[in-house]
Amino acid sequence: MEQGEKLRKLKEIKRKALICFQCGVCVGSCPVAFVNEKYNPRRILRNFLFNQSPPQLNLSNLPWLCLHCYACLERCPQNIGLSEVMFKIQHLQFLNGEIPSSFLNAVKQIIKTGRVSPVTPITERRREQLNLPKIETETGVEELKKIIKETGLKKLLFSQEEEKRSG
Amino acid sequence: MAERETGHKYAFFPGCLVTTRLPYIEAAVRKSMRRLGAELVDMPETTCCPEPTLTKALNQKTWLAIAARNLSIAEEIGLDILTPCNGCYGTFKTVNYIIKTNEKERVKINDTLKKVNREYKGKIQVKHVVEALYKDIGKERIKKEIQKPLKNIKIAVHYGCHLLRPSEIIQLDDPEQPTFLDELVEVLGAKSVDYERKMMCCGGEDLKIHPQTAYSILKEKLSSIKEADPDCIVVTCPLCMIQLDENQALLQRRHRQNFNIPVFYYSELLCLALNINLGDQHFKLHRIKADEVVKKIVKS
Amino acid sequence: METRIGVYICHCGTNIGGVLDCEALAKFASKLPNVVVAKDYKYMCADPGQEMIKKDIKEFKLNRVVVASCSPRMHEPTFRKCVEEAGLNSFFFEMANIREQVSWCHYDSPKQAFDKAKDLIKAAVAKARLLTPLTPLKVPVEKRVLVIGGGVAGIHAALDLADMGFKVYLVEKEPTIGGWMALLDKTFPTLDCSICILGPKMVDVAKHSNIELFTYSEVLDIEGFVGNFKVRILKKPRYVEVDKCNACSECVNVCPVEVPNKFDGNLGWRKAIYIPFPQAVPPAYLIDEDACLGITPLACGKCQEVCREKGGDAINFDMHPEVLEVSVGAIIVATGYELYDPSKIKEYGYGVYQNVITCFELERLINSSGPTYGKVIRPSDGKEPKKVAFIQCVGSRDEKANVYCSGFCCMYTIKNAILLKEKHPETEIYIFYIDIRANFKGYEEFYRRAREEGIIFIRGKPAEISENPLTKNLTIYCEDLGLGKVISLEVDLVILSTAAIPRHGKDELARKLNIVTGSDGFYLEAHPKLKPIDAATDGVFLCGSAQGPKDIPYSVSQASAAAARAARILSKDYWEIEPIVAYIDESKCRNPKTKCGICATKCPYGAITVEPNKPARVEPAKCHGCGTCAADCPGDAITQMHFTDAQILSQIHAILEENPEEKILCFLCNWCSYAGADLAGTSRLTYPPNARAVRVMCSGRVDKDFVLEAFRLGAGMVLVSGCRLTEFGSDCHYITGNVNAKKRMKIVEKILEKAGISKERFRLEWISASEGDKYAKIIKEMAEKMKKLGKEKIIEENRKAEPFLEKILKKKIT
Repeated sequence: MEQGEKLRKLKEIKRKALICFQCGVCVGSCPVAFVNEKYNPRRILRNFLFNQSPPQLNLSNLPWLCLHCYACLERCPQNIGLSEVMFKIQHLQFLNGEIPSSFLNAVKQIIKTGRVSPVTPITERRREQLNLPKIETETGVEELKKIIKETGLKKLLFSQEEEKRSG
Repeated sequence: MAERETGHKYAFFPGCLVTTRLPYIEAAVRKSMRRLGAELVDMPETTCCPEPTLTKALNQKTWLAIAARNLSIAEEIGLDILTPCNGCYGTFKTVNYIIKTNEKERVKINDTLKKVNREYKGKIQVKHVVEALYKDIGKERIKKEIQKPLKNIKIAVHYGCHLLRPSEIIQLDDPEQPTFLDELVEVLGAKSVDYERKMMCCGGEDLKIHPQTAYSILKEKLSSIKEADPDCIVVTCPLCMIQLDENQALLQRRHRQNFNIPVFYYSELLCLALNINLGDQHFKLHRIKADEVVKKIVKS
Repeated sequence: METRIGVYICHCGTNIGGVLDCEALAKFASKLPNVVVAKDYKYMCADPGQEMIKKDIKEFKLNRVVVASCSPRMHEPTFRKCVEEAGLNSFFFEMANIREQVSWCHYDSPKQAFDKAKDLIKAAVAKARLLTPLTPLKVPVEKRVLVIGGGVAGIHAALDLADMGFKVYLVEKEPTIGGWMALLDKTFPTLDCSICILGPKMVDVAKHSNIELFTYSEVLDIEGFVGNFKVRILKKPRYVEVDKCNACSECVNVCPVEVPNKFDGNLGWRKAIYIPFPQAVPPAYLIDEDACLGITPLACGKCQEVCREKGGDAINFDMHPEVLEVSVGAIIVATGYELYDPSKIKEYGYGVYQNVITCFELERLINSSGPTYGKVIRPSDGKEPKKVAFIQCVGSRDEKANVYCSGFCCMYTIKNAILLKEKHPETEIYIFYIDIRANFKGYEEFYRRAREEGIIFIRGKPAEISENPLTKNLTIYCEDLGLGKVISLEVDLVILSTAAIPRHGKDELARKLNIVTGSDGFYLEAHPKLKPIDAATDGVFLCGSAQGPKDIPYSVSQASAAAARAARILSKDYWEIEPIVAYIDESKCRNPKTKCGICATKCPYGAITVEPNKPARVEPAKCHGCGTCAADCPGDAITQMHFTDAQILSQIHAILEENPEEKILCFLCNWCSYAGADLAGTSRLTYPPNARAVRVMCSGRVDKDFVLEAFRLGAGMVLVSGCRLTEFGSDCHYITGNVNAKKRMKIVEKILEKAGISKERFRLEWISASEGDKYAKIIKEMAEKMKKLGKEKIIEENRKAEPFLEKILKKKIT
């Protein structure tokens, strides 16, 4: 599925990996790497140098730990923009079906309600206490669903589900 | 775009987290902005900004289109968009930047928007609440309105990542040595104290994937703050608030890490300094007890 | 006078004779117009061959000679000399390259090779018919030299030339010579004392009878050309008369004004009257007019009083700036470098954290004549640091600052670390680096010595430094790539190895000298391999860090090289300039009417001056003969001698006279692409024999009309090729000739599109002298494409395009 897209992404990422001259400023800047030795964004990118097609990543959940805080992007002396590359790596993982279920559930939440966090009775009570306007529920959701379908995300999500069910 | 003659006016986009989980931030923002003569117009039919790791990582096209849809609503009202959330700010700033600088992308995005009968021309600006306070309303105006200066209050400022980075797109302040939020804090009469890990991310984004990592980052951050011995922390983002306040309480409960540093959203402190009554219930919604600091300010 | 041409076909043993029937070629040549005699011989370049030509010139009254043999890059000088010896002008000679570009690369198809050889001989004869005699230009040489910059490079260049007996003017903008080296403590890798080895040289400069030293002076402007430069020098007032000052320092004691001393990296203080450092040359004080209270209006004057009391009377408040004019034959640029301001890299906190200092500041702290008399201390509390970290590549190898490697920082950091360690063995020292560059004599050993002495090297670029607000200690956050994990290291003092950057004001000087800077901002040499010392302008030479960051031994070597290059000119009474320069037909020049001036903007050497209402003017001594101006002149007013429009068009016509639709016409630059085509032959690479090369000095010479005319005549394919041009820069031997060619050929592409010529029939390429395989590959590709299009389609396209092309070419002529 989506093999062409995968190879294209892989090539883009590899190009960045080729430019990297291994100074480690990204890792030194990374709050995740500071507390979690397993996570080393430099090494994640470097792995792509040797990643042949078809892409088999087996990176487990590691790339999804990126906070996208952009500290590495600001400091990289070779302008690699690792934070942005990480989005591409995550995208590739998503295409490979390697997306953590918590992410998948959160995406579904957005599609269903238009919001990343649910409106609960507690929410409503609190807002009332604070004299805040009542929440219009499910506004814009129809349009959002249409966009998700138009841009192809729905299809991608659907095939993920299929794969998960069959695999 | 904002109408300067009749005071400042913005299309208000509180974002998912503020709306549903931390409505007290919304209350403080609305009240303080009103006092300072800024009008917030609610935006109908908006959705999640949307969150990048959940959409951009999955499909960049979707992320661009949903964000542009939200922006188009503000453009239709004819106002710059104002948000109290660093996350929404980052998304909107970036998408707005792409639309304004990349003709090809703009056409593509609008092809999608056409399907929902919308169009975004890229005519408006994206503003964060603290940015509007600093740039539009200004320190002078705030200073004039202050009734209860935050004397003898030491504050640790936490900017949060997406308020500053990527600096090439955000262009609000220096990404390594910013000062504007410290200035805003000092205008209230408080003292901004330096601490070593000031520019470190709060780690909140990792809660949904690996909470242990998020807590470890938080611990590093709070330890560094504790060394500077402030009365409280100030944030500009609901996710930073959840991480620094709610999860600080969690660390306290589960891991006996007694940092005990109250956290405020900037607008809350602003309300206190402007002597705006936020109501009895307001600060009870904070997980780390803020009473002492609030009392210290209100008494003065 | 009747044109009488002799043509000589060389067998080159069997090199040519084994593939081509040379006798038949001679017979063919003998029937060409104006050819009086045509012969073939085993070795034309050997003495009997040359004698034969000389004899024939006399016997047959020849006034043009064509030799068909090897590449002109091989034997053109030989045969030019030969015809000159027989009394002909040396430019009455032309060559046809039937070895490298025929027999060596088409031995697999001798029949087509023979046809190609015929075409090339025909083209050479056609050009020979139009040759004109040229004499080398001679300009007198002023036997003096200007050296700009009095650092270690400038000092050495000046001394070398002065010792050779040339008069040297050494201009230094600071009040003393010595440059950076005079301020260093020790030098790597030998740890000898910097000022101890430089000091005597500085004194030599001051004492040398052939050197006139201008300190505290700047070059105002420069006019002229090689052998004949006029230079105006501005001498700023010191307010202290150098010959009267005996450096007793009494004035300093009474001066009430204190300002930071930049010679100490602003760590120490100096008075308004000061001497930069004790060993300064000239050894005299000066008054800083911005700081002094005495100059205008006179309000203080304490120094003058005490100087008079002591019987000196050296202080003179009435000094004024002076302008002096000198004439020189050559100029050496040794203006050196500056240091990058690390406060721009905010994550390292320089300028915010007191205990983050630069390498130069440390250098002054270690130096016993520095502000602390050699004691290394923390600026925050004056205490000796116990734990020190050096950070490399601050502003170097960084796309956001300077992309290049500053070269010498690795070694001076290691040197300073060793010095620190030797003074205080208990100090913990860490060096954070990306790569260690230790690639000269004794450097790698020095690096090992540092490790042996206990200095810890950590591979990794620190992400950020934070300061403990109470202790002012610094924590460095960095990935240790050896460990593969993030470390945080608390230290007392951080030293940043800041990048070396081009001098402030380098562009202004470049304008005055008519030289160029590279993408890194340093002055650019004429050729990176074979003319590394010469600047683009003849008679101007570069040495030391002005051309790019360099350490001391490298700078000194370059200084001596620059002196030798300058002496090559200065040692002659006259300097000869190749006469293939551009010439402007004033009656055709449009500038008086239309303010055109295009030629001046295209000239890479500033050899063309354009003044309003006057025709443009070429200074032949500055012209290098690339021909770019001739190609871009909209009025066809410019001619490049020996490569005139008429001569090149005659070659095109000759080549395309028969079956043009089957031929690939190639315009190749002399230095790279023609040499690349030769290399294909030398390497015996075969490629389709329908390619025919026309040699020009530079791809910049290829006029739009040449390409259009080729297609009008029905050419199958056209290739234009020059020296390599990539996003990283240009290898062009005329700096930017290929850049201009590229711009021009983009327009050609558009015209051809309009004319209905298929896109693939015209190609622009960059082929270097080492890329014989690339040339062969491109010709193969073009031949294949030509085959694919088919003869009929090409003829059809040409037929349709002809009226359109004719119209364009005609419009140009009228």
